[in-house]
Amino acid sequence: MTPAWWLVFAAWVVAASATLGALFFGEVMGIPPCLLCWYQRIAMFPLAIILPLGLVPWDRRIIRYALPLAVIGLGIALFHQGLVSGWAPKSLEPCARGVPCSKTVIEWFGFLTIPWLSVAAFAIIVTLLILALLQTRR
Amino acid sequence: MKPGALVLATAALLLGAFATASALYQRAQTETAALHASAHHDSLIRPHAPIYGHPDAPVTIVEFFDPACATCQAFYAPLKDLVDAHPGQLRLVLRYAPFQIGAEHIVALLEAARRQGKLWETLDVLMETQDDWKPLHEAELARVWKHLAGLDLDLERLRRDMADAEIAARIKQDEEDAQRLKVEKTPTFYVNGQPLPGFGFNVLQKTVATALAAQE
Repeated sequence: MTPAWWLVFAAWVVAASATLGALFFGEVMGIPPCLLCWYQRIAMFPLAIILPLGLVPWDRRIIRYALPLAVIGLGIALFHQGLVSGWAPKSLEPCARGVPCSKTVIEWFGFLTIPWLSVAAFAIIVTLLILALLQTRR
Repeated sequence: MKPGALVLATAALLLGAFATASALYQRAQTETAALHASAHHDSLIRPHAPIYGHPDAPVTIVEFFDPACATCQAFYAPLKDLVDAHPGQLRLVLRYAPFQIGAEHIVALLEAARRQGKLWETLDVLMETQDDWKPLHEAELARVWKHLAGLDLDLERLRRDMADAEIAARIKQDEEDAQRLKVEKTPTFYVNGQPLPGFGFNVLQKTVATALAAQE
């Protein structure tokens, strides 16, 4: 198992934890996901499934397949956090009806919200995958 | 450890953590609901609440019910059968929790029909035709009227009663009680004042069976 393998493995652990975490919020705690949450789920859930397929047997092209999903997810997560923090103008908010994206449902330790968790997870995954990419290019 | 085994073990670990956390969370939720139910015991049943079954039956199911909720609809017929199967032993107390969009009008209609002595007949029809008057995510009162034709209701009086202040007050009371008990989903059931230890018709059936057995 090369360093690149371990980096992708770590990215998968983060993606799988984030996926199960999102399912916990939605299905167990019964917090309905807002529209932006759904787009982030669309980027995160497949990562939890395809990353292990590239790990066993090891196929370094998995990095190439997974990275776009993670980057897009990070972009949406940053936008979402921007809405919550008020950096992005509210007029850009796509949720006309249903669950408002800008409403904060969970706040742990005074700062940790669901969009922040999403930003953190995607940022870690992107970083790990880029590091893995650099390893395999060597 | 081989890569495959490591990946499988990690997946099992994560899924195990998820299952454990879910079970713990659910248990904590049931305990909280029980605390709310005992702290606000008087919010559970009000004298105005409709009763199905014998009014003095020893075992009471309280249901927070939304006529526009599809799951309430799915529970409706089997629940009435359950009450019918235990004459004099079991009663259903209906509390309104119109959470769906437009459902408050349907509740007003039910209460107005009740003044003409046709609550359960009207509810039977509404449950059978829910798919039609709630085509998407909204209860549409305008689509209800045609289904009431066979019920021999005085529709003019019904419309008048729907705007009645007493009916509005009852609905408001039910809403306040639901808030106090932290009822956030429909249907929510209480058997003899206790919340169910989970969700599902089988859970309800089992809890009712235990309560009935305790009476004997």
